[in-house]
Amino acid sequence: MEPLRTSDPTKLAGHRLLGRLGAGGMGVVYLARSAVGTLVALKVIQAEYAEDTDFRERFRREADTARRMTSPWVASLVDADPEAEQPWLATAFIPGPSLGEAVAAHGALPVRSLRVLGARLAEALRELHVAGLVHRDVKPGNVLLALDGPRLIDFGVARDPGETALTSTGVVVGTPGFLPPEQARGGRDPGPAGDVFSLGCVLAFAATGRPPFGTGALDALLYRTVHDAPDVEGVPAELAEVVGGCLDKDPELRPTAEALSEAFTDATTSSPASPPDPREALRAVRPQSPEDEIPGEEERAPGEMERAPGDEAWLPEPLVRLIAERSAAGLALPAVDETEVDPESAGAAPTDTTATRPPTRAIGRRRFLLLTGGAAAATAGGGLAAWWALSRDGKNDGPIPTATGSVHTLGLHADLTGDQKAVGRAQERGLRLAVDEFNSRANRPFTLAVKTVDDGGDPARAPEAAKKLVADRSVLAVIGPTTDATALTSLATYDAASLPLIAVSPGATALGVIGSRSFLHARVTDAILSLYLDAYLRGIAKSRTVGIVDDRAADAHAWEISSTLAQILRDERQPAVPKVVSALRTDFGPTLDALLDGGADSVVFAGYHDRAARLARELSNRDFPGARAAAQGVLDARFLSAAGDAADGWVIVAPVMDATVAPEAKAFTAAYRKRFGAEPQRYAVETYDVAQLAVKSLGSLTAARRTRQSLTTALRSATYKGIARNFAFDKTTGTLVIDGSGVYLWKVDGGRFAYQGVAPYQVST
Amino acid sequence: MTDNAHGMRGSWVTLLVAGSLLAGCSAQPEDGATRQSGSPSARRSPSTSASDLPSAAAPPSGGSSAATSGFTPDASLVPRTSKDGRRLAESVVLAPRDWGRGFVAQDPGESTPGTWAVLNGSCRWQREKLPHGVLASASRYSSLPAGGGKGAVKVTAVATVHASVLGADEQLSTTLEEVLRCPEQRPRSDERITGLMSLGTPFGAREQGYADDYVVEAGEYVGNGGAAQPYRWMVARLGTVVVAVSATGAKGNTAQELEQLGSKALAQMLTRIEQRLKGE
Repeated sequence: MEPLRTSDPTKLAGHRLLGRLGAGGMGVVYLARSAVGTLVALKVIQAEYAEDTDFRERFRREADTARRMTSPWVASLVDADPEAEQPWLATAFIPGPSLGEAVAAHGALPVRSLRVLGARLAEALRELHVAGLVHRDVKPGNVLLALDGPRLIDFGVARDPGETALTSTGVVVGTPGFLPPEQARGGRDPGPAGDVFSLGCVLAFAATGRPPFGTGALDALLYRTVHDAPDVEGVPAELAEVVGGCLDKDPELRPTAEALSEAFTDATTSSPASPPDPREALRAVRPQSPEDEIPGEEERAPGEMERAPGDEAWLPEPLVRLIAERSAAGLALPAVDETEVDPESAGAAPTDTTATRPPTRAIGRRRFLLLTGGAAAATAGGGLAAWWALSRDGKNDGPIPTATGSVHTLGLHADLTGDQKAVGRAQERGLRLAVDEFNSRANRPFTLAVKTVDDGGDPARAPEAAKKLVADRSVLAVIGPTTDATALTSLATYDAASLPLIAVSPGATALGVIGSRSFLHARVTDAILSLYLDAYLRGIAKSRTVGIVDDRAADAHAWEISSTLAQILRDERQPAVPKVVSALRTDFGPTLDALLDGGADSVVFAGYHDRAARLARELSNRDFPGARAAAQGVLDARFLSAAGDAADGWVIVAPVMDATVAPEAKAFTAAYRKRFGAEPQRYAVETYDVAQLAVKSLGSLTAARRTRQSLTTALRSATYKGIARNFAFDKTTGTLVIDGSGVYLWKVDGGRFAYQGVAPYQVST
Repeated sequence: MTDNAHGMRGSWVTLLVAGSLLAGCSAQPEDGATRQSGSPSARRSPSTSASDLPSAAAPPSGGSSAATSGFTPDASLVPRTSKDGRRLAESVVLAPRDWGRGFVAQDPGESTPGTWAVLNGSCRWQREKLPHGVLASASRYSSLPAGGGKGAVKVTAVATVHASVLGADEQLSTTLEEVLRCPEQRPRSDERITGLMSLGTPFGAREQGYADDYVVEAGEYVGNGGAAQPYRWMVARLGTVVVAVSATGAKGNTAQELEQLGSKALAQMLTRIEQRLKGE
């Protein structure tokens, strides 16, 4: 929240203004205290709009309708005056993050939360639609999360039609990516079915962490909305049909909000989902730090510690904590007293909360009191209303002041939607797990937030993604990017900002030699993997003449491996048969002929999974008896599906552990399963390690020295023993000090990658 | 282990730096007029040429090297016969005067028609009859005699015309393979090229915006008992045509000067290809 400006009044229509929540083309939204002491979001319309009689009439009609709304899942209209010189309206002030912030901070919601979210937002829309209103801007930033359920805000009242419609010049000012196709096409006024489409987008976003039509340039977003199938990969199966129905391109074919509400309610009540874990509620109310403790804590009635029943536990624990922190953040807001000029109103704060909480949600209120440590004033202070938060950046979860001290952000720059999205998403989860664990520590010196940016794996988009993280001053270190290409194009952006960039999956040696002052390479380079390939082929597979296939389709990645391996073999005076394959060649037959002519009894493929599969099939067709090996570019499920049986026996050398099997990752995997309800995918534990390293390094700095530059120095000087490898870096280049740890063998067996444990780096004799 | 690894990394570093340096020189030829339509800015980058639709997704992380330079020759002008191939090769390959003031022909000044150079199993270069699929190849050998305190610079220009794009592309693959196979090579019995490293750079990668594909080799030349001198070999492909230059230094010539000389010559030949094959 911004402080009031000198041009702002301190009092307006009987409200005392406390700060600015946001501003738009139509006016300003203030956090204000009403005459009866209620905290409200007060939207004040600019005079120029007020002069428009049509506008004033619409405002009056909608305010009247909104006043009759009774759904608990909309932020209710408290008061409005359409006749005032500057028309205004006040809605209930909801403490709690927006859905957009929540997903940005803690990732996709579990299915149990999704059901509740869907049912209640559909219910809210049902009531709006029955009243003849259309929201027209259902998006994650307009859904606030409270402990008892979501709140739809900013509903159809006094919204500038230009805010979400296509303007006459074809520019979208609203929230592309959540607009229905009929609006994206240029239609001006979507009906209720448009809200249903947007709700489908919101639910898909909540379920996957990604808007279903992606992010990026506006025209591309609108084009995809109109023409492309939504990306709903990762939406839980039991909800996929309902969400898919909302996203139908044809408004006529979408369910009504009422039907949707029923569908979700059925799913919620008939679902065999596990009952809420009572420990969640207990954990949620545990004070975060000594500073959080308030007098009288011990005197809390035991009954209040009971978990709230049913849907009270609709959110996962980290989100409950986030809401609690938001509430606590209210303490950091300008105190009521500071702007009070009327001494009679002072001290009214403790009674405020009763006014803001409808009596029907007594349990919610009680829990709320627990969360805020019994300090009703905290509730009164509220959190930052977040209805405007997403207008800046769909994935922003910016600094959240907490009672436990400052907030620092770890950025993740990843490919979350492109060719390497499996890796990027695993990295996001690894990072989030580490951050959640840190934030759950009672005595933590600061609070961590996560901010993700997605470059879709496109090197051209990567610098833009990097700039977003650089621009957020709370971001002190970034993990990523996912690929060599995106790392190479974004390295300079991070370097210029002295923002530490820790690469987990890219392997190019070039990254460490460009001269970036803030880069850290948290894995061995591809060149080093050649040592391990050599050790496997000659040491374990007993190859006498190694065949090397360099695939030019993989450009520098392949060349780094093949040229290094050729040099190693030459230095060891071992015969080798190198073959370089044109990127234009699709038939590996002649390559194999040449290898066999040269006497190769094993094959190393330097390249990526798709073309490795071609070679694998060719080798299989010829009944090639020798060993086949490759580096991490082939450690991809698509290699298995494309090569089929021909993949069997291939051995992959990669800086990736299988956390589901490795004994040293047992605790990590248990925590991961608990947090995400899924098995850790490749690169999750490696990213978790790096996040721990970053946290440890940050913790080694005094509060005043927690800057990007100091953290770079601390990281490059750090030594840390992770689960998957040991970390220490060259202080000048940021490359990993090689100690033989952190490289693993995988062998394709029966159509899957079977983990073989630590890879040897020396040929055993 | 660590020492070994650092040693390898060191050599890679050298190569990468050399490669990017060379690519940078070629991308921005000093003589701008020689590039005309082939100037990097006139070309479309792969990311924009992939598709103009906004729905076009990011290019795949691998396989970018299949991109083409954006130069589309007039199909009717692309040689299909040995005769047409020879005519094109000879009009593209640089003569002594094309290298600059003072350059003269070596003796012999050009290769035997119908042959090209092949690196045999013993890492020696020898001339062989053109194989099937190669229409023509022409080499011209020039030199800048010693003078002004500098030793003689020897240069070679080669133009090879293939029957297919794949055939031409495989010539560059073979070039890369030669260095993997033979980091030490013998052009003639009394000459050695040592410590060769190479790097291939397809169009669009590492700001390479002037050819469909490009390979650079860097090493040292030791001739007839003399001191080691810098040696560069640069190869580029446009469609079915592959052009190459070598430059061998002598006392007083820096590697950087050789690179500039070679880059400029290569750019000149690429421009000639475009001029001769472009449609209206």
